[in-house]
Amino acid sequence: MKSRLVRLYLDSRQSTRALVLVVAIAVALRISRPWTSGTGVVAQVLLLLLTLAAGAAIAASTQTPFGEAEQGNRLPALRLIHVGGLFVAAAGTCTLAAGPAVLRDLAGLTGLTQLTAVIIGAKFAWTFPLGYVLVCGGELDLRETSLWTWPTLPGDDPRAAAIALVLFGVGLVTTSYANPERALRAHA
Amino acid sequence: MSGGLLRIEARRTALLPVLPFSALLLAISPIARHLAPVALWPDRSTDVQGAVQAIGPFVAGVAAWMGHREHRRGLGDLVGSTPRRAWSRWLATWSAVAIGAVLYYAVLVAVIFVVTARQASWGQPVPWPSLSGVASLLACSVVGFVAGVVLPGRFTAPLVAIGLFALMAAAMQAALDGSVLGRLSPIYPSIGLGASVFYAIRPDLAWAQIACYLGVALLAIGVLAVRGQARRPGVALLAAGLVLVSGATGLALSSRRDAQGVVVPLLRNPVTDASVPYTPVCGGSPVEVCVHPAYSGELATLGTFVNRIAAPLAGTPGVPARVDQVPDTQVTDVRLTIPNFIVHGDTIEPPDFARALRTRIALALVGSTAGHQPDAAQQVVASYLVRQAGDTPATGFIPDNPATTAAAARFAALSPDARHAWFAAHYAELRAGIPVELP
Repeated sequence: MKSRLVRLYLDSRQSTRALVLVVAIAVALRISRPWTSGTGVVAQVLLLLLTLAAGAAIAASTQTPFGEAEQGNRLPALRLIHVGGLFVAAAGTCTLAAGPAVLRDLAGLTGLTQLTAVIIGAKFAWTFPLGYVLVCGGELDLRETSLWTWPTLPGDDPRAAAIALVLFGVGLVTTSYANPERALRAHA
Repeated sequence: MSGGLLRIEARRTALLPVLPFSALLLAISPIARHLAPVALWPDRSTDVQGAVQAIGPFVAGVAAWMGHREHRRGLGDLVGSTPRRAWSRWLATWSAVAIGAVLYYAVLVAVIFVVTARQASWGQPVPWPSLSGVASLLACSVVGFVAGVVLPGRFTAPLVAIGLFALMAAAMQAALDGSVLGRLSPIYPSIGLGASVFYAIRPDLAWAQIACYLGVALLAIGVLAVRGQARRPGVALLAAGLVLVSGATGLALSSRRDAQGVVVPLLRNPVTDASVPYTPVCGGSPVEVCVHPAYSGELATLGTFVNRIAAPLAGTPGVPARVDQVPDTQVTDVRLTIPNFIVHGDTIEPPDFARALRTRIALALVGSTAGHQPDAAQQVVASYLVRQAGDTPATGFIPDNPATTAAAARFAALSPDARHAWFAAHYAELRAGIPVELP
């Protein structure tokens, strides 16, 4: 695959802007450490929200300017490079900023935003994951945990890690093979 | 802004496809779980305000998306040639989002209030939290819209939505940590819950919150007007918004907390400090439990709850025959004090709360009242009473001490007759705080 094609594809997705945002979110993660490193409900929810912001930025950048006119057998690979590359950047910067503990939630929430992008469109990919984080906040507030709200489980819980990994994998594969613009179209 | 334009915008608003997410979220949120059979109007009214956290960020995100529509569609040149000012178009687009959000919120309020009206045994709806919620939704919508206009781009909507919720949560945490400005968070209860069925509702903070949100909304609309070639009304709106936000900040800075909630000296109404007369509802045996009529639906559960703790004391001279529910501020004897937003349904939960309540009642039964450190014997007997009721003492009231646990176990190992004899001989001294020898 020609590097020019990759570059043009990435440019059409505003990847540079997404990358800058991801780095900015990592910086915000670092700055907010005093408020997100505790075990309180708000501390955990703030950490989840910042992690989600990185995933949402990646998903928002998958919007295509060409709509359904965009066709081609190289698109899955290009989408994989785009989303995978941004995720690697997010994982690296967020790990540097807040430690490896954020990796699980970043992977799972990124997968969730990608799946939402495929179902309802990249423009509103943030809606379902944001609602999900709110539900997780409610569970944390009630001191309840379950596999349905896996981000509320302790960092070393292997089941939560497996769910996050599966979500990320399914999200990545689905977004590579499905055009978000063919999703259920929203108004406006 | 014409009615026709507003109708077109209402049909084209992106809020409609997003609302189902918010509805789903509310359906599985703790707010929906609160719709259990026992209902208190102040509690439910505050739930209505809390619902803003599940609506506001979505409204802001959608408004941001609508705000950069012209930029996204590349319509700058086209709409730039229209005779009306840009501000007029933007106002119509924002109004469609705001009206949709307020209508959705109104439906939610109506549903919660209708359900509550069928369940509540006392009181009436409290309007202040709902008004605060409406004002904060308006602020969310206009702040999101202005963000979309000022910073057009595909990343604006998600970042505004997520950022706004993070801001609400951070302000709430700041308020819980003691910051007075944090009380202006849209999800901070605008009325005090701790004693609200016993006292009149105090709306001081609600006024400050509403002024703050309307001020923020006016500031944002002012920015919109200035950018939309309506400089004069824009400056007026900015000034009005600034006055309101400054006033609300001043009110919040002067506020303080007491047992009934937040007091703002400038807005204080002595009427709200007066207790509301009521006739208690009683039940349970052998210890009679008397509660505020708002809690009458929980009487049977509470009667069982209290009598299970007091069971080993049955027949002991001097044991209180009646337990009264009173606000935390009036604990003088054996009292059942209940934060009114926790107990729902036929069980007392969550477990931590039930544990704390059991421990407080057990300590009250052995003579230790709130504000007084129980002595060693009182701790041991209270620990035994809690354990025989199937729980462990809350460490906030009885420190986790191996000696206390061992003494409580020895107490539990006594035969019922020996224990009863010990209570008969020492209960009066125990309640009076006079040192007694434990078995």
